[in-house]
Amino acid sequence: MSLLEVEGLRVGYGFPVLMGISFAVQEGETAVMFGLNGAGKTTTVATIAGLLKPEAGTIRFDGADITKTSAAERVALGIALVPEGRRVFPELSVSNNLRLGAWTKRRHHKQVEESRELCFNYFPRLAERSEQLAGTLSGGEQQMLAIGRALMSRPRLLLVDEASLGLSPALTQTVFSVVDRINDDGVTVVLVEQNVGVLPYADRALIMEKGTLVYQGSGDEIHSGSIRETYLGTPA
Amino acid sequence: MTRRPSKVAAARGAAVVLALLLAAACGQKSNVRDSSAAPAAGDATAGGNPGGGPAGGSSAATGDTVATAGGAGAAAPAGASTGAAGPAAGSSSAATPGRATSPSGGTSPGASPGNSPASAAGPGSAAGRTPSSAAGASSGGAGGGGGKAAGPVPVPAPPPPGGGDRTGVTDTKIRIGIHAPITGAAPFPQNAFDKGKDVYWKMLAEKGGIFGRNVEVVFRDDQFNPSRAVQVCREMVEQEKVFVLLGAAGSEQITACARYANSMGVPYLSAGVNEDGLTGLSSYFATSQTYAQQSPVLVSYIANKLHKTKIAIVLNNTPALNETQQSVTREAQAAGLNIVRNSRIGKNASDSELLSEANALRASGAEVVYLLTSPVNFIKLATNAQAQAYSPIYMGPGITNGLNIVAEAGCPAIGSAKFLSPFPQLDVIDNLDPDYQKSYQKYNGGKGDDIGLAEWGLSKVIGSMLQAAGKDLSRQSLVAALESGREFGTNVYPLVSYSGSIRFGARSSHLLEADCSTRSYKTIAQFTNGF
Amino acid sequence: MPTVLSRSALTSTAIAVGLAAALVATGSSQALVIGIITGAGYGLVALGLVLVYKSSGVFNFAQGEFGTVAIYALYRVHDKIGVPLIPAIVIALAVSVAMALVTERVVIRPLFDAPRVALLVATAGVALLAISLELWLGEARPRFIQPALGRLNRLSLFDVAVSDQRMLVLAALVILAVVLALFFSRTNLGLAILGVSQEPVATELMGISVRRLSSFIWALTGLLAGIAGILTAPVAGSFAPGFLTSTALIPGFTAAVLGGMKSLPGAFVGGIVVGVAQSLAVSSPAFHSIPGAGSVMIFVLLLIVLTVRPQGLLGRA
Ligand SMILES: Nc1ncnc2c1ncn2[C@@H]1O[C@H](COP(=O)(O)OP(=O)(O)OP(=O)(O)O)[C@@H](O)[C@H]1O
Ligand SMILES: [Mg+2]
Repeated sequence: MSLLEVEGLRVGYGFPVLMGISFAVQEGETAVMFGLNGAGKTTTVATIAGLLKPEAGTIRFDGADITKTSAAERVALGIALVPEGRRVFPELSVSNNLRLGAWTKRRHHKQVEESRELCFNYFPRLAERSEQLAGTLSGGEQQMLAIGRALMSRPRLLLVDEASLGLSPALTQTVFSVVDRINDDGVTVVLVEQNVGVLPYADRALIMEKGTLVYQGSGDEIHSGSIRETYLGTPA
Repeated sequence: MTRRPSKVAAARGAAVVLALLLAAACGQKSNVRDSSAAPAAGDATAGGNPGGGPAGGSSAATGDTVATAGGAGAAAPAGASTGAAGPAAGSSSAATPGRATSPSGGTSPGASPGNSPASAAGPGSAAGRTPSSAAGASSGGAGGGGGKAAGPVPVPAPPPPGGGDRTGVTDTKIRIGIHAPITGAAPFPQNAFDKGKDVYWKMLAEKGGIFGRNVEVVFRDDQFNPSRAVQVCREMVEQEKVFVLLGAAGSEQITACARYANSMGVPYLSAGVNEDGLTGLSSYFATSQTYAQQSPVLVSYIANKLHKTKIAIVLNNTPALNETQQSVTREAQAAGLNIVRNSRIGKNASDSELLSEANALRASGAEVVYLLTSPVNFIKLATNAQAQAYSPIYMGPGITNGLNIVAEAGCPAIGSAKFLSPFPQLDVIDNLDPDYQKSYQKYNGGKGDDIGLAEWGLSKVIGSMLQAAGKDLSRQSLVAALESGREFGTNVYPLVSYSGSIRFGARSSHLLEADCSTRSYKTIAQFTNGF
Repeated sequence: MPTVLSRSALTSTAIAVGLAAALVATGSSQALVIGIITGAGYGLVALGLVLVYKSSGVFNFAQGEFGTVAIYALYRVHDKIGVPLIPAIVIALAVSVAMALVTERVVIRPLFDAPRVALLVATAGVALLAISLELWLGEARPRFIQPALGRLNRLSLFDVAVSDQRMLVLAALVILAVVLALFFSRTNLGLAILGVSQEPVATELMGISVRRLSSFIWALTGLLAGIAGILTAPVAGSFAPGFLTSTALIPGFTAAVLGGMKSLPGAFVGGIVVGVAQSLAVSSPAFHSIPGAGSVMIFVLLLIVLTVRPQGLLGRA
């Protein structure tokens, strides 16, 4: 069953950016969205998270039309976005960043405590630095915090916008593998990426170009095929 | 997305806007009732009316007695001033006998407006009318408490220059402008000035006006702010085309407006304030004693009646009052008083400043505090002092600190504060001038308050002066009449006379004392000039 | 203890103690007491300024008038209509909260994406509007009021009698500063407000309604302003339209800047420092020839801080 269904989505900033895209992500999948700079990937996930209002099209989550709901409401429904550029709260400690991440669950102390454990389990580095101000973390640590913070709301769908940006190849692999673990733990994941290193983890690949979806298919297809050369410019 | 400017830039921007806002707030604060817009640029003011002759053919002798000393037998309004008396009855037409109108436009106002029979007004003193007294203004006036028998002044009015500036004067109207600190200085109720400003003129109009002319008052709030004062005075002169300007209270505002008026050749009269900055202005006249003239009166009271020696002197920190500070200091020293503190406080003093001052006064051990500040500062200072368990006797010159609103707001902290005043309080007005309450009742309903009384007294003085200027009223004839040396008495305001060089010509003041049991002031000495 | 408190609390205590010692040593102990009790009022205003600045980066020029409106509401409801004092105070505070909420809804929210300068000017406009409202509620003339607390000379410090009402202002300042500091460091809502000031988009992504948060912040700032107004007016002895704008906004702003614009304990200390500086200026014979020495002192202080240490006494460089 599709957890997320996007249909005919048109979004713009005064000028059109998304030209009406449609795709679906199945529950439990990891979908990866590729595309050149400016293709509209961030726009797509931001719209799904509710930060942007579409001009046309519908977004369905778990069968329900959520097109008109606010970003905050979508978090409560189970959609979490790790935004481009991390956007951690720089003047709050790691632990307070996580606490804010758990806002929608704030009355359920036990759940919050569990999420925290889980988060530290995924990213032990965060546990060590729980009282450090987020602004003083390294870029990689901030990325971990951003993902961990998003997990605190217990999402069913995790959207991650360019997790690998600015990370060393080694750290990138670490982050990808954690995301894979998260997926294994039952969270549906949509990764926006430029880094083809993510392909091994992808169940589904979406390729965007100038605001349209030019390719949808399984990760394996892309992994080894002409599509990869055509759209991503990197031979296998 | 997060658009936070640097903290510094934000703070600096904020500081600038803050300053603007404050300026605006002050301006906004009190635009209660001025209506007119900004002054039009080069609006001609004078100049009109060159020929001087009353345009509409001087309907001779429009009768009209100025009626001041209410006829009623009441206590001696000795020589009730402006000639004419209150012909209690309607028929003011007692005509003006002596009017000689020279056709040559010159108009020597021989006036001497009718001694209407009823004028016998005051029992005593036989309303000293001298036949020669040109404009009839003279008369003994001011007898009251001070008991000054002012003799008639046999100086004929010099003929005013031909023609003259008749701005604001028509055959039926004289328009005068008044500015007062309705807001900013004292807790004046919003409509107190409005209610009282026309009472006297309405009464006068019923008696025929001044040579047939009724007085129309334009009233503006100067907000206790000199630049605002100049602005409203300019508006009144250039747009409202008032004939003469009056300043009700506030030394800085009065000084500023008087200087403007002088530059425009507009006669300007005000309650006595400072002399610095006003001395030498050819169009300025003080209708009551200046602060400096009041200094010896106050000092004599402290020394001879209160028998206190330790005094502190506190004045608002406006340069206009430097001379007042010097004069009271000099007088106090001459009288052998011990000045234990001599200080100035901000015109809009902060909480901190008033508390500090109260504390310093207490520490100085002053028994009497000579005080010349706005009512707002006075009340706050007294309240702070009382909170410091310090309650000296407050005394001062003034115009506004003796108003009942000050007692209402300041009691019990102000104790038995005593202030000199150009006008008496309500407790004695029925004796001095029964017309006030009668007229107030008639035109406004209800009992007149002391703000109305202040306006009444001022109007009465001005009325007698306008009367004295004669039928062919012009700015020049008014100034000539004032400079002639004749005396103007109203039995409300003190007797006053001027000459070419004497512009601070009032002889006495009333001494008022706060009575916190009734939250009002009472008159403890009338027309006094020393103790 | 959370870092928010301890660091600044330490610095501020050090500064305060040093300043106090210097003043007592130079024989200005009375000015010190007067400064502290008058500065408390500035601190209260500064708290509200810091709150809004912290959460939205807006300097709220209407802060003073939110408070003055409360005074007028109290005057109207208590003195004119005769509602007993306590319910009247509640109503008055509700009025200033409502005023702040309306400001947020009608002025701040539509301009949320506008440059901050536009917001500055807009809040200045609100202040002017509030002054008109006050004129309508209570005429243009100053009103005189007596402190609600009867006994006047319970406490005397360095020969300065400190009235109960002034003690109340001081106590309110201390309590509010501490409560707010705890609120920000300990509660989810407090954290959310901090969050929105740092990363509004991320805050929304946490499932927090930034709009509702904004309303809450303004309601809180309206409440603080109302408390400041109702407590300080009786101390000042009188109020007139524009009361807090003309008496406390600049000192409060200076206090907030001194404290670094974002620190609540900083606003508290800043208020006291401004009060002491002002009272030194008005009481010291050295400044006697300068008219308005107190206000001059505040501007000098503001200038020094802005040029030398724009991050404030307690701010991070
Ligand atoms: N806030 C905005 N205002 C105006 N135009 C915008 C805005 N955000 C994005 N755009 C434009 O929309 C287009 C798509 O941007 P988007 O951020 O979605 O691309 P992207 O695929 O995420 O690119 P990248 O890989 O560089 O992150 C770009 O042309 C961009 O310039
Ligand atoms: Mg992007």
